[in-house]
Amino acid sequence: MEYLYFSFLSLTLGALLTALIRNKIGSGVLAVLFTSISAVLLIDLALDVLFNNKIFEEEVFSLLPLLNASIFIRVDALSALFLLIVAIVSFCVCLFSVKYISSYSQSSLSFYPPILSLFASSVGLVCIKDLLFFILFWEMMTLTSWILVVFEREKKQALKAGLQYFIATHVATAFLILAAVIIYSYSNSFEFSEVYKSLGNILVNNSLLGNFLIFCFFIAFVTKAGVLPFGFWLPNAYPQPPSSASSFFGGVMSKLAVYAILRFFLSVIPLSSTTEAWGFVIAFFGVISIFIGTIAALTQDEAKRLMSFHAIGQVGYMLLGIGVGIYFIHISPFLSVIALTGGIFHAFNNSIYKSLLFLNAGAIFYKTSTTDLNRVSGLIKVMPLTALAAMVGALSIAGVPPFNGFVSKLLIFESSIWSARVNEALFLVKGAFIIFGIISIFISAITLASFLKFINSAFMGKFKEEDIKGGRLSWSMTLPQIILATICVVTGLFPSVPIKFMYDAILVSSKINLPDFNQVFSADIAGIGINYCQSCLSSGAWYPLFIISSTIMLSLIIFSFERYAGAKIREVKTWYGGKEHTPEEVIYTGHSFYQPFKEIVSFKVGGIYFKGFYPSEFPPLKFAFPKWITKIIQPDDWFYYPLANLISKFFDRMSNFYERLNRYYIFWFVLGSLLVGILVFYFYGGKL
Amino acid sequence: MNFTSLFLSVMVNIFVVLLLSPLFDGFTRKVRALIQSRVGPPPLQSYYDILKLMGKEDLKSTINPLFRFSPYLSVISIAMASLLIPVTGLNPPFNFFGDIFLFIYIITVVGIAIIITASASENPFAYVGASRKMMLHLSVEPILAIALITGAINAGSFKIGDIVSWYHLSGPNVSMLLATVCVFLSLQALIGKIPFDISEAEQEIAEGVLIELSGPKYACLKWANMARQVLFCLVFSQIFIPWPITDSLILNTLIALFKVTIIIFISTLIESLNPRLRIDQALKYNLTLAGFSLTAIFLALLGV
Repeated sequence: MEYLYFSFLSLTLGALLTALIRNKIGSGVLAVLFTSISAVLLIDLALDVLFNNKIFEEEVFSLLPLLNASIFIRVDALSALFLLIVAIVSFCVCLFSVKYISSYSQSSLSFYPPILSLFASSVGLVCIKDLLFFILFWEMMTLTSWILVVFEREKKQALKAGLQYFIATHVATAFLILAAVIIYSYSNSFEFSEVYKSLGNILVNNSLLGNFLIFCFFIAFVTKAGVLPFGFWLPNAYPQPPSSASSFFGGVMSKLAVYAILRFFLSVIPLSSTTEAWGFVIAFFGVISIFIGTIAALTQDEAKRLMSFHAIGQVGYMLLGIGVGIYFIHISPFLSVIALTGGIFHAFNNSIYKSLLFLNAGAIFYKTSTTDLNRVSGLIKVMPLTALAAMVGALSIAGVPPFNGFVSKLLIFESSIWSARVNEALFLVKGAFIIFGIISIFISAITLASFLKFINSAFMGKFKEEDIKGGRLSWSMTLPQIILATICVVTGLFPSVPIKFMYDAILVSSKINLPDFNQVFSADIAGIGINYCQSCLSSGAWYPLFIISSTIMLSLIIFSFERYAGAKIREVKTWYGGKEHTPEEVIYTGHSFYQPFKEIVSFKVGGIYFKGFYPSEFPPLKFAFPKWITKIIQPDDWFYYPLANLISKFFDRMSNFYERLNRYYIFWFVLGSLLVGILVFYFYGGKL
Repeated sequence: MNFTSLFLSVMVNIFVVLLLSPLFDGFTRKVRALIQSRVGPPPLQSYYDILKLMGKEDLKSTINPLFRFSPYLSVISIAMASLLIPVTGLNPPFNFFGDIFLFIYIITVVGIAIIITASASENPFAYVGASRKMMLHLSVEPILAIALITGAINAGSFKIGDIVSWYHLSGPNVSMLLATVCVFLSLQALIGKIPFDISEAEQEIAEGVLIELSGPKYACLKWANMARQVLFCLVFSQIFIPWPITDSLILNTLIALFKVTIIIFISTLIESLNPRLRIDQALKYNLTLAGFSLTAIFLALLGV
C-alpha cells in the first residue's frame, strides 16, 4: 500500500524538479528516473493485487469538520489493472520523450512537469473512492492535459484545438459537479458506498432525478472518452501535443474515462431493471463512434489524426462490450460476464497498442518532421524495428490473430451476437445488438484497411533519402516500442491469464452475484473456451498455441521447400512496365488508397460535406437579425461615431483656428496687452 | 475425436486444399478452353507450372524483409483455414481450437499477406492492386460473416462443427437458405475470379499485386490463389450444403470432392462468360448484397 504513496510522491517530486531544470536532456533523464521508480512500484502493487486477489483500503485524509469527504483509497483488481496500464505506458512515454522532445524548439518546462502531474493524477483517479476527490483528480487530469495540447503555442491550430478541448471537457466536468452536488444534498457524504445507497433511494423515490444523475455521469465520461457525437474535440486535440503525450492521451487518458464508466456503472450506480437500459444507450453510442470514427479515419491522410479517429472507434468497441454487459447483467449473467470481460480486456489491449502506434508516429515525425502520409515512404530502411513494432500494433488494432486485439474483439463480437439466444430480451433489442455486432465486425476490416494504409505508405514503398534527419533511431526511442509490441504479442498468445484478471476486476467491482470463472471460461495455458450459459458446452473458443504450433510446422515445411528448390536470387530494379521513372514519380501516396470506397462513404447534405460520415466542411454561417435589432445592438453607428465625429470636428476647427492665428502672435500679444490695459483702466476707474 | 482420426482429417484437409488445388485449377483451365473452342493444357499443367516456377530465378527488387516472408504466409494461412472446414465428416479437425471468427480472420490474414507482399515490392502497379484487394476484401467479408453468424444463431454455437452438425440434423430452413444464396452470390468475389479479379487485372495493371514476383514467391502466391478457390468452394459445399454425410471417412471426402468439382465448374462458367467489373461496381454489388443478407439474420432471430 505504501508503494502507491511512494509512486505518487515520486511522480509529484519529478514534476516539481523538472520544473526547475532548463536542460532538456537533463530534465528528461530525471523524468525517466522518477517514472521508472513509480512504474516499478505500481507494477509490483498491481501484480500483488491481481495475483493474490487482495483489496487495499485506507483513509488517508479527511475534510470532516468542513465536508463529509475524504481521500479514501481503495485498490481492487479493477484499479490495479488500470494502474498497470498507467505504469507501463507512462514509463514508455517518458523514455521515448528524452530524445524526442529535443527535436522541438519549445522549452521542456511546458512538457515534463505537466505530463508527470498527468501521470500522478491518473494514478490518483483510479484509486480514489470518493466522489469529490474523484472530481478533483479528474479536473487535474483535464488541466494538465490541456497544457500539453497547447504545447506549441505559436500554432493557431493548437490554440483552437486547445480551446475546444477546454470547453468540451469543462462542460463535461460541470455535469459531473452538478451530479455530485445533487447527490451530496441527499447522501451527505461523497463516499462511493454512501452515494450508491442514496442513488438507490433516489431511483426508487424519484426515478426522473435518478436517471438525470446517471445521464450527468454518462455525459461527463463519454465526452472525455471521445465518444461521438460528444467527442468532436478529440480528432483536433489529440494530434496537437508531441507524439509521446498523444500516446498517453490515446493510450491511457481516454481509457480512464472508460474506467470511470465501468466504476460508476458497476459499483456506484445500483443496477436494477430500469438502470440496465443505460447499457443499451452506452452500446448505441459506442456503435455510432465505432462506425463513424473508423470510417472517417479511413479518409485521413495525416498519421496522428488517423490514429485519433481510431481512438474514437476503439473506445466504441469497449463501450459496446460494457453496454452489452450492463444490459444483460441480470437477464443473462454468463453473457454479461463475457461482454464486460471483453470490454475491459479491450481497454487494456487498446491502451497498449494505441500508445505504441502513437509512438510509431512520433518516430516518423522525429526522422522526417512530418506525419503526413503523402510525404513519407519507405521508412523501413531507416527504422526496421519501428516498422516491425508498427506492424504488430496495426495487426493488433485490427484484431488479427494471434495478437491481443483479436481476443478482446472476439469476446465483444460473440457476446453481442449471442444476445440472439437470450429469450428474455425484447426482439428489437436483440436485433439491435446483432446489428451492432455485425457493424463492429465490418468496421474491424476497415480498421485493418486504414492501418495497412498507414504501414504501406509510411514504411513500405520507395525510400526518399533527402527528407531524413540523422542515422538510426536511438535505443531510447526504439525500446519503448519494442516493450509495447512484446506485450501485444504475449497477451495475444497467452490470453487466459489476463482474462482471469479482467474477470476478477468485474467480480470485485460489481455488487451483483456473477457466475464463477470456471463456469464461464474453460481456460488453460493453451487458450480459452467460452460458455454462454450454464447448460451449454463451450460455444466459442480461441486456442492460440495450437494454431501457432501448426503454423510454425507448416512454415518450416514451406521454407525448406524453397531451400530444396534452390532458386538463385538476383537483385533487379523495379519494373514500371518498360518505362524509366525516378522513384519520386512512382510513389503511391497515402491519399490514393481506397479512393472508390472513400467516394462511396463521402457525401454532401445541405451544404455540409461529410467525409467518411464525419462532417468535415461546414458552409460559412449566414445569419442575420432584423435591421432595427442590428441598429440597437450597435450604438456605435447611430450614437458614438456621429458624436465622436462632431467633437473631433469641433476640436479640429479649434486647432486650425489656433494655428492660423498663431502666426500673428505678436498681434495677439499686442491685442492681449491692450485688452489687459483696457480692463485695468476700467477697474481702477481711470484713477491711475 | 481421438488422435488417429484427428491426424487423418488434418492430413485429408491439407491434402485436398493444398495438394489437390492445382488439379482443380487444371480442370478450370480445361473447361475454359472447351468454352473458348480450344484444346487447352493437360490437366496436370498447373503442377508443372508450380514446379517450374519453384526452380526459376528469384528476382529481388527490394531489400524489404517482409517481401521475402509474406508470400509463404499466404499459403500457410490458407492451410490453417482449411483445418477449420469439415471435409471428412461433420466436425472439422480443429473444431475445438477456434470458431467462425477465427476462420474469418484467418481468411483476412491471406489478404494481408498478399497486400504486404504487394506493397513491399515497391511497384506502383502492385500498390494499386493492394488497394483494390483490400477494398474488395472489406466489402465481401461481411457477407461471409453474416452467413456464418446466421448459422451460429440457428445452431446456438459459434463453432463450425456445431453449426454443420445442427444443419445436417435439422435440415434447411429459410434463413439458412437465404444465407446460402448470399454466399453463392459472393463466391466469385471470395475466390477472386472474374468478374471480381480486379486486384490482379492483367490487362489493366499487369497482374497488380503479383507484378514484381518471380520464382518460388510467384509459385507460392499462384498456389495460394488456387488453394483459395478450393477452400471457398469447400466452405460453400461443406458448411452450407452439408448433405449427404456418411459414416465413412473416405466416402465423405469423395462426396466433398465431387461437390467441389460441381461448384468449381459453375464458377468457371461464370468466369468465362462474364467481363470484369470495375472496382466501384464491385464495391456497390458487394455492399448491397451484404445489406440484403442481413435479412437472413432477422429470419434466424425469428427462428425460421
